[in-house]
Amino acid sequence: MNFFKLAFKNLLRRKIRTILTIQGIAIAIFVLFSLLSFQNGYKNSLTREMNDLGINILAVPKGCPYEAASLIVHGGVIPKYLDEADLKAISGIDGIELATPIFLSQIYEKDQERTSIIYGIIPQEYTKVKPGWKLNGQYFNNNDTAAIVIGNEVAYQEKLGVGDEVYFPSVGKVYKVFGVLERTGGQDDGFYFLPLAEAQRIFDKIGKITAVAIKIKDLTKIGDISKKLEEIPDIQVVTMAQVLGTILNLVGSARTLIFSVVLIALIIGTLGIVNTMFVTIYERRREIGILKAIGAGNFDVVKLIILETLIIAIIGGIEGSVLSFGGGHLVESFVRGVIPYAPKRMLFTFQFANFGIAIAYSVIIGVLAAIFPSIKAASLSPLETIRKDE
Amino acid sequence: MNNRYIIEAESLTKHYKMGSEDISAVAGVSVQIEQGKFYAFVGPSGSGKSTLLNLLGALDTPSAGKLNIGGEQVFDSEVNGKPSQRNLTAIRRKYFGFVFQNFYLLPTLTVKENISLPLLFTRKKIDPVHIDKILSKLGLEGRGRHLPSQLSGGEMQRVAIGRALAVNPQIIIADEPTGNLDSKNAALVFEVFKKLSQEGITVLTATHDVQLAQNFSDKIVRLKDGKIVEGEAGIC
Repeated sequence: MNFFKLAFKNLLRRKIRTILTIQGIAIAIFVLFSLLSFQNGYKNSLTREMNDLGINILAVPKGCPYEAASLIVHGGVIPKYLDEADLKAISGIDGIELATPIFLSQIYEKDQERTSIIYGIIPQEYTKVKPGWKLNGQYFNNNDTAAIVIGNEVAYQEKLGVGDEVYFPSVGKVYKVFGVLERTGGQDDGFYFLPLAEAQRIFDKIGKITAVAIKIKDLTKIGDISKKLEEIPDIQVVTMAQVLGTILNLVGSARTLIFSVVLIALIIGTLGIVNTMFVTIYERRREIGILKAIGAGNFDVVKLIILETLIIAIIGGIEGSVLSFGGGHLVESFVRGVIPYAPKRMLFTFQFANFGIAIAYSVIIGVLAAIFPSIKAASLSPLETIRKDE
Repeated sequence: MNNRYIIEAESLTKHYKMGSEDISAVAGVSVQIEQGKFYAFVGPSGSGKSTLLNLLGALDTPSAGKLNIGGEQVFDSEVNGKPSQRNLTAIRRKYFGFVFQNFYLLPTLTVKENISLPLLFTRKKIDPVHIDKILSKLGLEGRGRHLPSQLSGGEMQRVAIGRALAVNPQIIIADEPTGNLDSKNAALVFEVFKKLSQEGITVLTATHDVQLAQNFSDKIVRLKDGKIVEGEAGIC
């Protein structure tokens, strides 16, 4: 017999109440653990995705540059365009290794309720800003009018391979698949890549450009080059570091909100334990008095109640953490739907340090929740137990 | 202090406030308890038996009077105020084992665990041989691993006595220990108390059952209205 065994057996006496209280803590810790995992995973994923992009600067039409840059990375459509003259002006700036035009639009097939994102590129240039790309098949030439390269996810979803044909009824065109990109883990997996001129032609935007992807020779000169780019009328400049920062800020705001919710959940969970312990102590006041009569001191009672509370909190903490390991992908799919920009890579990175934090939180919750009930229990008089009619 | 007496109480008084009314549950009781004797406190309901036992057992503090236990001055209203709960706990740990009418065994603990529970609070090592001896003394061999719910009322009360014996007390306080037992089991419990007193343990019990008290106890203390009834009907 020891205090731990006594505390554990006491909890078994009210199984349902104990289990429900544990669930309250488990849910709070589940959310906390998931959020911590998200915090690590999201930043890593986003940074890797931005690095994979291979682009140092995006030149976009004036408007909201960060939104535009995010849309370009994500595959959205911007209703403003640059033109060939802008491209020429950009290319003429010193320090720029490569400036390659991008035309981005969408084809919506009403009958199939399908939206296809079309990326018009010059592959010989664009592949220089995408050094990580690996292609099965071959790239098209910019003069091709019936060739297409598709992302890996598109190939998988549409069951397409090299040599197959892709038909877009709304533009009345059939394209032969020249190449299929190997999985990049990024947004490129979901795009259709056409020769720039062909993409501009089918959308009737000859000479128009959605953005210019710029690679510079020396990254330390990025500030000077950005300034020179901004001198060109109609152009706004976004460095990918800015895009990264903007997205992280947006997600940071969402995270603050979620942290607030977690905090509330933790407070509710803690109050739940406090309530349970108070009710339990009220029901057990006679028993506690008996324990004091047979020799338990105030410290013994405090120790017993704190142990009982800690057992509840720690089991809840472990359960919440394990649930996060198992159910993290469910939370991930939910988070993908609500955050401003979600990289394709794993958003949740589970680290044992987070497990430690979750358990530490559980212990803190347990101790906090036990303080008042244990003091209340210790203050009970042994006489409570034996007061009866005489 | 006379070594013959393990408890000495002088003019012990306990007042309660019930609304605006002042109730004297124990009204100036003086009593000397001899070591190794079996005392039965008898009297009608409200006579002050339990309150007196609570005072003598350091479970409650008197309103006035003097109380010595084992030669230690626990309370003297003329000298000091009320003893602290910590001091009372220390006195209880040192001298007493308690048995209650409703047994108050912990339902999730086995018989052995219930008996060894007080040792947890005294930080004494639990000696399985000691616990087995208690079980044997109380006729509970083979019941050590049973839960209270698997025992009869008489057995449960014997386990409660075992729990009181675990810390080798000098005094056992038993408040209405047979109140929830049939006459056969009640007699068994009193028989155990008788044996314990013969081994040198002082037993103080409150009971309604005068016949039982007469059959087993060494001394009967009659109480009425918070006072010991003097003369032939008093301590005898």
